[in-house]
Amino acid sequence: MIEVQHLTKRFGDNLAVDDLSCSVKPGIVTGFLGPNGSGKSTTMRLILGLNSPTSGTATINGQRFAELKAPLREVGALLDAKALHPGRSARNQLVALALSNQISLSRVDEVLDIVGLTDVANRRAGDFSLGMSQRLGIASALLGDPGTLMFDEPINGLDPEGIRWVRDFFQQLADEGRTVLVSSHLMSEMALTADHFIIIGRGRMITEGSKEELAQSGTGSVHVRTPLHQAFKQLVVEKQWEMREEADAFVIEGVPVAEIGDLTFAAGIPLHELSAREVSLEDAFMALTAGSVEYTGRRMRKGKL
Amino acid sequence: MPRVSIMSVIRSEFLKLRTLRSTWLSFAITAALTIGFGALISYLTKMQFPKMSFIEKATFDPIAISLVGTLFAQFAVGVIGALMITSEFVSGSIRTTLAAVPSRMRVLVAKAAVLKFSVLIVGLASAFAAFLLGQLIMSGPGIPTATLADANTLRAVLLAGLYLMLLSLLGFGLGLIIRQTAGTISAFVSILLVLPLITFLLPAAWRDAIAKFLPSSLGRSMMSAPGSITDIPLFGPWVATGVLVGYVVLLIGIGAFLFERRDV
Repeated sequence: MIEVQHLTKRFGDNLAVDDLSCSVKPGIVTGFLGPNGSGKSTTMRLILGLNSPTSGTATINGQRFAELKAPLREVGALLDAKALHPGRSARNQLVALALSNQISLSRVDEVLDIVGLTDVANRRAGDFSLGMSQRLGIASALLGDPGTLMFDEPINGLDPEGIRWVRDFFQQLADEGRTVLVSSHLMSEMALTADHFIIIGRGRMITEGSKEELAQSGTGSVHVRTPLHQAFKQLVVEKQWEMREEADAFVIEGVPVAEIGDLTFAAGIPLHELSAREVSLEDAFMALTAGSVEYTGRRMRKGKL
Repeated sequence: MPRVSIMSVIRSEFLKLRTLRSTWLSFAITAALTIGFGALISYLTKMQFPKMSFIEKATFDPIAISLVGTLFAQFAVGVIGALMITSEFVSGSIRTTLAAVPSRMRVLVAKAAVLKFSVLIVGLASAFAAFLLGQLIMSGPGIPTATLADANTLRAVLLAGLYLMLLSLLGFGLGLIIRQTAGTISAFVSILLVLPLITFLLPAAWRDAIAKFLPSSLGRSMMSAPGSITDIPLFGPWVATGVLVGYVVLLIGIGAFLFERRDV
């Protein structure tokens, strides 16, 4: 269980984390989402005591990280897969960590096996691809068999097989009753990986909830096609629906499809199409974070860069 | 339940140090510079001896000559000390280290202990080898040489090893403050090479007052026969050692203060 209360971190003029409160519960995979620069990594560093908060607190199982007697046995973290000395072998990176927390060296071989790096354990970590480094980072997080795990962008650089493995693996860790926090800036990825979502933007909490709750927070739309434009528009005005016209269809936001069907039938308006468009989690995420994206690229026009 | 202790962190840091090729290379360079330059200068001095003036012969210090290689090796140990901490900041692995051992002072003490121990062993072994080889090379008719049976000679050789250890800690302290490899090494080289140059441009009275405080001058004091006549006034060997220890304590103290407070 990770608990964050009114956490704030200021770097000069920049408010990286702004009064963030949330709790990450055991038994489920929690996705930590936000655009680039939204404060996900800073929050994780604050939880691990690597950065000191301007105000607020972060605790793991009720204790501040600095108070833990054998931290790797309580919290395992993958912060940055490439943050290791390139000259040391994968195995020795893990041995160094194991020694510091008095973890047996047989566990080193165990975690190497779990992440599938046994064959390359004696190679220099600097020669590893990003995907292999991510696996090594996951291995170091698992080293102390901790009840709480944090992974910062663990899916970056993994091949499709690795992505599938990591998803199942995170789920398995959660099923074992562990607290699993996984950050990403890709909702499409997280939709398949996590059960619960914490979405932040510009350091502030935007929303929190399960997949279903999140999908509902974005409004679905219904597409309607009818030959009787005037009659339908009149109905829309009467019912005060929010409508826009799109090519040959009317798009109505936030009204259940059944209600529209019933009322057009009652009004005797023939329909050529009545279809509900589901909001994907990704659309919901985009809509939610639209106001807090730090870097926006412009849309490319055809033939022009 | 096993927990993090200072000994477990020392074991971890010692493994980190010895599992890098650069460590072995740097230590090999340290020994090669200490012994190699000691032998070379000893040989050149022997060739030069018959042509020396009366004054040169009177101030002839066979101990200092055989240990002169430490003044080259000091750069190698400075780099070892600097890399011990800057490599973690540069690669970002300091976060992994501190996520396993939250107590920063524990990490710092363990790193310093491992560094001290390793450089002292290599420094002492190199200094003794350089001394013995140098005396062997210089020995010949009319040339005075020193033996370890003399307490002052033994002191000079032991302090040569200690000098290398203290300089590696100086590099470590600078690294803690500067946190970048290139900047730290520049600062280290500036202190050892540029500061003396500036000092020797000063009026003689100022120079004589200041020069003895330079780390390189302190090294000369530590490794020379007592009472030898020098171009500038120097401290005695023990005072010099004390001043150098003072620098190390000051730099690492500032570094520790910053390390404890800064975000990583």
